[in-house]
Amino acid sequence: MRTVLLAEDETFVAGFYKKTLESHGVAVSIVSNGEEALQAIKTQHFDLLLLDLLMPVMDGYQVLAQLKKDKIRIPVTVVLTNLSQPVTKEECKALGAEDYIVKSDSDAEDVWEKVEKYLPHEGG
Amino acid sequence: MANEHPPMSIADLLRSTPEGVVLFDRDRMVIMANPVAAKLTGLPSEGFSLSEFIRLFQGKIAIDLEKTIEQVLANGKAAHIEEVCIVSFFYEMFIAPVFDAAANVTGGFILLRDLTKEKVLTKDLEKFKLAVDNVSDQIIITDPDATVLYINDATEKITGYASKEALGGKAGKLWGNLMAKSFYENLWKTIKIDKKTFVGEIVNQRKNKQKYTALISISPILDEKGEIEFFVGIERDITKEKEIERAKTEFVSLASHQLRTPITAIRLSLESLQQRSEQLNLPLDDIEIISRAKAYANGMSRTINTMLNVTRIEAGETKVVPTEVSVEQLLTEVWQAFSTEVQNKHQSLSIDCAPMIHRTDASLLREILNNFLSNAIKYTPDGGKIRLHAQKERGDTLHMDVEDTGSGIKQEEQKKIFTKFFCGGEMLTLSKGGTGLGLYLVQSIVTLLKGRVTFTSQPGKGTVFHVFLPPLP
Repeated sequence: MRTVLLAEDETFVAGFYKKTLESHGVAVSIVSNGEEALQAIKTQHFDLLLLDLLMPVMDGYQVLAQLKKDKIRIPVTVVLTNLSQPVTKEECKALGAEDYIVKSDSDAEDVWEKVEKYLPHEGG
Repeated sequence: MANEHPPMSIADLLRSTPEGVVLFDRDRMVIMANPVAAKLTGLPSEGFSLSEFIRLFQGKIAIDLEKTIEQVLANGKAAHIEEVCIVSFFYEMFIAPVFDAAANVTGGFILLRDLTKEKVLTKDLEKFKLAVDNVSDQIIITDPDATVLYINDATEKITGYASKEALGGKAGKLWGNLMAKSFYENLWKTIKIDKKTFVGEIVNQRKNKQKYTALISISPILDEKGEIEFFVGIERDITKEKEIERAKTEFVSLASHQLRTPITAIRLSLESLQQRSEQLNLPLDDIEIISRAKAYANGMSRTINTMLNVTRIEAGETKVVPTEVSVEQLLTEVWQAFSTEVQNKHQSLSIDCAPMIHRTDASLLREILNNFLSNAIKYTPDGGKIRLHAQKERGDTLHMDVEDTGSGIKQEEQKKIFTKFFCGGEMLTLSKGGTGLGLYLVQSIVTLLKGRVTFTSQPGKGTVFHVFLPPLP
């Protein structure tokens, strides 16, 4: 089964993303800050990291910086944001992520559609 | 026979000379006064006495004219009065003795040189200089090699350099030299080689090294041969305006983020309810309510995006990122994004576009379509039709149009629809909740993408908006 780590401090919002992704056969683990995210990454393999940028304790930017520093490679990171940046894929790549999703512009199904593009094919 | 010229006399000469001449003898009897002298003094052209002439000046000039004439006749030395003003004339006066062949003073003459034109010119010049000196914008005049010839008071105040420190120096070295080399190269090329006015924003520094942002306009002034005589630069300190612009962008960004958080929660909640409406066996009315609420939430999100984009574009921060965009895919995505709204109003939304690629900025193109479509849905009644169409035209230009069967745009309003904050119609607008920013944003984006936007509209029938975008390099 494909696995996604969802780092999102707003549990209400996180719940919707988890429910939708799970309805498409993906296993989702939720963490609510950057520290927990790094911890989870160290202990388990994930096919994709959905990373909120604004979180308490340690934010998404710091997580990406730490992953780069520790040379930990996650297959794909997609950044979740409600900020006015990043605006382009280039800015994402500079941060260390593949793509970004503006939360207020997206339904949970839209998030699934984007995530599906980057997940390995089922059975692989 | 040689010398066939008609005889000319000294009297003819005096009559024709452009200066005023009054000739008098030792007894101070006026022998002759030419017409110019009469004009300049207002005295009768038939003739006047020296006493009348002298009386004219009583109290009007500092020197004693009578005594001066006496002295000239007695000493045989000329006198000069720099400036005299009588009636509305300004002139220079010379009083000189006339000698005979034996060097005896036989009389004298007064020469009057009309300075009126020069005086008026000087007064006008003084007026201009006063204006230029006191205006709040900087005015700098340099020679064709950018050596400073003149700076006004505002320039002294803003740059911190006194006039005498700046004169003779190079404008670029005094308060410039902070921008990229290419900026100055472009500036110089525009004014010196193309001989055109350069307008732009520049960051300069004051004498105390403090930086400031200025809006500059430098024009070459050409002589009759088309050669540059000098440059005139007008600069306005816009540091404050820039700070306000930055603060505005920051505020909108902050507000947007704060608003986006609850909107996210709302739209996800409604989506969840929508998906579960079958399970929950909700009556149609409730399903409709959820659908409408979702459409409003989507609309809110779009409004925030518009506001953010407007702020960014106005601050010059919008980056154009050209990629090979699949146009029909983009249209499909936009169509899907609006499907809830369209369904709610039982409108039909169709796409007419063959598969095509266009090199442009995808997110900006999407923003244009979002705004057109949002308007089309808003201003088209229930059951109406909306069509998205795209085709390629000459020069690989992308021509997109959005056509609706809506209420149309009134003739008298058609000129204003792209202006900021303009919402069409009277009370109709307030209930439809427009921001007046959508079309203003579209216009700004289209300009940025070096394209064109036009429209045709028939009130009561519908509107078509056209966008023409060239391929980006």
